[in-house]
Amino acid sequence: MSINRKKVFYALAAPLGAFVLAIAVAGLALLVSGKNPFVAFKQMVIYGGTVDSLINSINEALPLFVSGVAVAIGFRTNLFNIGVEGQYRLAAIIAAVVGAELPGPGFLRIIMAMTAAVIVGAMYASIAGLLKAYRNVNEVIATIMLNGVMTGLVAVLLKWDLIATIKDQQLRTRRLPKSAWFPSVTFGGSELYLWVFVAIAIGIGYHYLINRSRFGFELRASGINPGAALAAGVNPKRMIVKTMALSGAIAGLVGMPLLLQRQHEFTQQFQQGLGFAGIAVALVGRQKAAGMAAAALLFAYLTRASQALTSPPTRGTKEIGTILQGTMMLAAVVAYEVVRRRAEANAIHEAAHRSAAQFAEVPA
Amino acid sequence: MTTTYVDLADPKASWWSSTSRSRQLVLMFFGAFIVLSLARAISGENDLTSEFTVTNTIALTLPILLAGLGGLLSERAGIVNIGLEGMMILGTWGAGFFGYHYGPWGALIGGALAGAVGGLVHAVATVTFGVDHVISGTAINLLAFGWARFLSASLFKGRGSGSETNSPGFDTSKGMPTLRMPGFSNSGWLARLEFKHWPVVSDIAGVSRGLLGTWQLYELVAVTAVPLVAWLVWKTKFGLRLRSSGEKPSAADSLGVNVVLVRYLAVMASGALAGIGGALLVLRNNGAYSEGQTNSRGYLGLAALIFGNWKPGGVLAGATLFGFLDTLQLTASTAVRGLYLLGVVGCLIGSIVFFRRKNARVGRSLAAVSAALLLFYVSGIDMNDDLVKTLPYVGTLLVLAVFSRRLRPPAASGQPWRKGQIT
Repeated sequence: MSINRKKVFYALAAPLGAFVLAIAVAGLALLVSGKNPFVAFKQMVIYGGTVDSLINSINEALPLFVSGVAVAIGFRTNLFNIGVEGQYRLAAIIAAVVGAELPGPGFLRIIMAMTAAVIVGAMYASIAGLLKAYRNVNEVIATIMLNGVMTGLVAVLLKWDLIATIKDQQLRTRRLPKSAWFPSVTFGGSELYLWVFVAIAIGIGYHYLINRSRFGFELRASGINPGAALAAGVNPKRMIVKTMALSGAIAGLVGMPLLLQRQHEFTQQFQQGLGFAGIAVALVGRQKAAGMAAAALLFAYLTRASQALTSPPTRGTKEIGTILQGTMMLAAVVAYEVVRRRAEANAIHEAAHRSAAQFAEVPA
Repeated sequence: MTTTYVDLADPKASWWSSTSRSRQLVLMFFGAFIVLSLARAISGENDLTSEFTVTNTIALTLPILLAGLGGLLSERAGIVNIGLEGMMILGTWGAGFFGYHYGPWGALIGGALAGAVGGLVHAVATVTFGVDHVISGTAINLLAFGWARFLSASLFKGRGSGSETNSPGFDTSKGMPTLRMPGFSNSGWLARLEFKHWPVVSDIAGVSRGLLGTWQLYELVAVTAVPLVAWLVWKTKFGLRLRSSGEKPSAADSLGVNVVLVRYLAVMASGALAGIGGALLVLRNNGAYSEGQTNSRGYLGLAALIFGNWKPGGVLAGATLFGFLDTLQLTASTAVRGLYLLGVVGCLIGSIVFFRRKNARVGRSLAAVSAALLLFYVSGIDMNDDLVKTLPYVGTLLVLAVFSRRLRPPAASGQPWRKGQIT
């Protein structure tokens, strides 16, 4: 095998292996609970293949993808933003209020809401960045604590009668006017969120920022070798704060497809867990824009397809979707690590061969 | 650091700094108690130190405490454990399942086993495969949630009140008695003393009634984890090996310590402790597992671990503080007003300390906080319940921000290490 083919093989072996392992674990779980896994998977594929399901998968993939990008920005410089969860929920409630309460035509409200989300997300994440840069507080712990604080803040905001009301026995912010709903197109009876273009723009922007811009270079450099980056004139403290703020800014947008396309208001039931799912997306997608898009689509598809398991003969096993996702994440990171070690060992092996060959050529 | 050493090094050392560390802690504890008691007496919020509050504080402290001790075992061996929350979720599920079939003792053991399984997964990923600890922990949190739900859907649904989010409860008193100390009941002389609401005296009565009056047997079992972990980690051979694996695994390895095995055991024990913490929640909830029961207590355990500077006594203090705040917010939300006064006095003392240390900037800001809290108290605005809930998190952030340079996590905690690696 040539080097290139080997590379491709290694790059594909890990995610495929993870996928197969996840399917195997899920199949085993189904088997143990007395269901036929093949019947279940067939049900999932049939249901997941409908136009309705496919469009739904794209819609649901949007927040997952954006969340993945937010986490990935941190990863590229060795910062673990586990607080996307807190950042997007806080941003979503404030964006909902801004979009509903401030005057202006619809499109302006959309822009204002998204701007507010970006600012809130960035500011909330900056707290962790500042603590890390200037007080040496581990960002993982800081963001976990900030997630806890967010729960309280959101609850307080929802009880504030200036911005929220009780309707249908639920606290909620006022609804965005219809003019401020993000447009969508209908395919075969189901709506495709046009926010997908915003997500694509974020993906392209992320790719160019990380791989082609000076900022991206500095960001990666301080992740790979902080000492060298410092010597090259990168201020590590400012880099930490900037990266966290950027990660939080993107995190702020996670809730936007939900707010602007589906809910149009913030309630206590506003979807949770997207921040943690984003970590899984970023890991499975290896922090590459295209990889994360694929991972987000796969996760959304699995969630959707597992809904098929609410009907007989495999009723009551739709939770298999969550198991598939979690197993896939863990299996993927293990597989990437194994592949990395193999590649490393191979490289050492080859280098040893080369130098041995060189020595052999030297006349005695 | 001994007393004499400090005296010799600095003849002008104040009385406080020449007092031994343990005596300082005892004095600080009594000082805090007197402040709390005065705050209680002045504000009239008698629930601050009542027997009821203390009993509930114990119940709400223990799960956090066990998670924190679990984190201690794991991090002292060099493995960061963000997955405590997930292991606790597994523990609640295991307790719900085994408790339903084998009673309360089964719940404790089942919770420990289920948590240990989570620990095993974490150990395989981090120790054997060298996956980043935080990533593996996060994955376990996600996985635990999914598994608990899937298993509930297939094993609890259709049994009594069971569903995909709840297990059918069981009789938690079978073989698990409630221990009552005579003389501590609601009609005893201590109770009468408590209800007099005198400053300090009544507080002592209330707190001691809470501390000594009624205990569930499983709570006693859980509390023994503190001395047990302290003894295991600091007084045994295994503990020495465990700590050396967490400080410098290459050195431990070169001396023949089986770092991989030690880490596996530590992380599994960590999961077991978190799992027992989950089991306590189930036992308190009439033997029923329910989804979301842990309510971030695993993360709070992690916070208590940092708060307590990776030491068992510190974890106990942190967990008690969090449990106390949790109790006030759940059962006696008006008593939270008394906390304002506590804050006023606390900040005032802090400000005096910093002024005397010639740190006027911190001193001034603490004095300002104290004045603001006093204003809040006088104005009679109630502190929002939801904000009280955030206090443990805010407190941890503040402690980290102020003391991060004095905290000392195990040196190799979170670092990837492979057997045979030299650095």
